[in-house]
Order: sequence, then C-alpha cells, then structure tokens
Amino acid sequence: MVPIKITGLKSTVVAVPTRGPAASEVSASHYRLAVLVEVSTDEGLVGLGEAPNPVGVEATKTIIDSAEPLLVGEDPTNVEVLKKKLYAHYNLTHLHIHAACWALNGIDMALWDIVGKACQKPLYQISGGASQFHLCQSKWLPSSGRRRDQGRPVDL
Amino acid sequence: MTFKDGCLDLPEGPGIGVELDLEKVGTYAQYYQENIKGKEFSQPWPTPQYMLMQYRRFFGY
Repeated sequence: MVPIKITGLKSTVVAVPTRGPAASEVSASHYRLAVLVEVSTDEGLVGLGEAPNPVGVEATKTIIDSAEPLLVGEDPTNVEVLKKKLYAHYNLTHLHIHAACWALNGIDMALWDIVGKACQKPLYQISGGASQFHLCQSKWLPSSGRRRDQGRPVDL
Repeated sequence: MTFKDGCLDLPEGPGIGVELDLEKVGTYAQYYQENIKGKEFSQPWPTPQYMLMQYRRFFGY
C-alpha cells in the first residue's frame, strides 16, 4: 500500500453572525468565530478540523499556516509522530496552555479525519466503537425560548 | 448534523463525519474579513460570567 502524502494545509477564519450571545457564552458578542483547518492529500482526501481561538483567531491562523512546511510530504496517518514533530518544533508539551498548543489541535483533528476517510470508517469505530448513539447537548443548547433563538446564526 | 430532544445524533460517514458547505464557509469568511477583522478586541472581552449572570437577572434575558 502506497502511503498517502500531505500536499497542503489551508486555514480559514469564519465569523457566523448570531442574533445575540448564546446562552452558554461568556462574552456579549453577536458573532461566533472559528478557524477551520483543511489538510489536503495527494489521494484527494481532505481532512477537516476546527481549531480553538483562545487569544484571537489571527494568532491561531498564523500558527497553523506556519506549520505547513513541516507537514507537506509527510504521511498523515502517522498522527502521533507528526504531532510530536510539531510539538518539538514549537517547543511545546501537552501540559502547556499556549496558543500554539491549542492551535495544533485543529491540525490533529484534521489528520484524524484523514485517517478515518482513508479507512472508510467513522472515527469512533477506529477508536474502539460507540458506547452511546446520542450526545446529550441539552445543558449547552437550550431547546426552546428566546435564548435559543439568540444563539442561532443569522442568514446573510 | 441533526438535533433531537436536546441530543445530537451520531454523525454518519467516514472520519469525523462532517462535510463542509463551501458556499457558506465563503460567505462567513467574507463576513469576517469585512466586519469583524481588527475589531475583535475593541470591546472589553470577555465579560466575567458572574457579571453577565447579574445582568441577565436584572434585565430578564
């Protein structure tokens, strides 16, 4: 089996406008920010991830973009090896709460997505099987009322 | 992804089971570039949770 190779890494910052702050949100913002990570491979598989933005989306985006030359040409199924490589390059450990450490989790997620797509299986089957088929969200997503409507995205 | 009775159904499909709607991503990326970029920290952020709770209690939202 020929190993897959990473050909590129792309990060996109998106802001989804909402009617108001969501019920579980700390800040009083009228939008939600996210950094989407797309890792493309030579076989056409595109891994998808989302990176946290603890100190702003631009910092996260810059860190992710700077990791591209380290990843191109590598096998994306060696997730742990690549993560160790990135950790070594950015001088991190898993105990750090640096912006870089958080941003690399988006790449990690995208790499795992590629692993699942290469195996044609959902990730929960790779990591030991599903123990529950519904994820309870009722604590964070209000099911009715004005608060739920506040957090909902606005159509542009 | 579908929500039912306050629960999120397990996504089907390989990997994390999520596909991007590229059109919407483009729209929201453009919205970020035009409206949010540079103004992200113009307001005091984040509001402490307990203050927000007080506001909510007072204003009733």
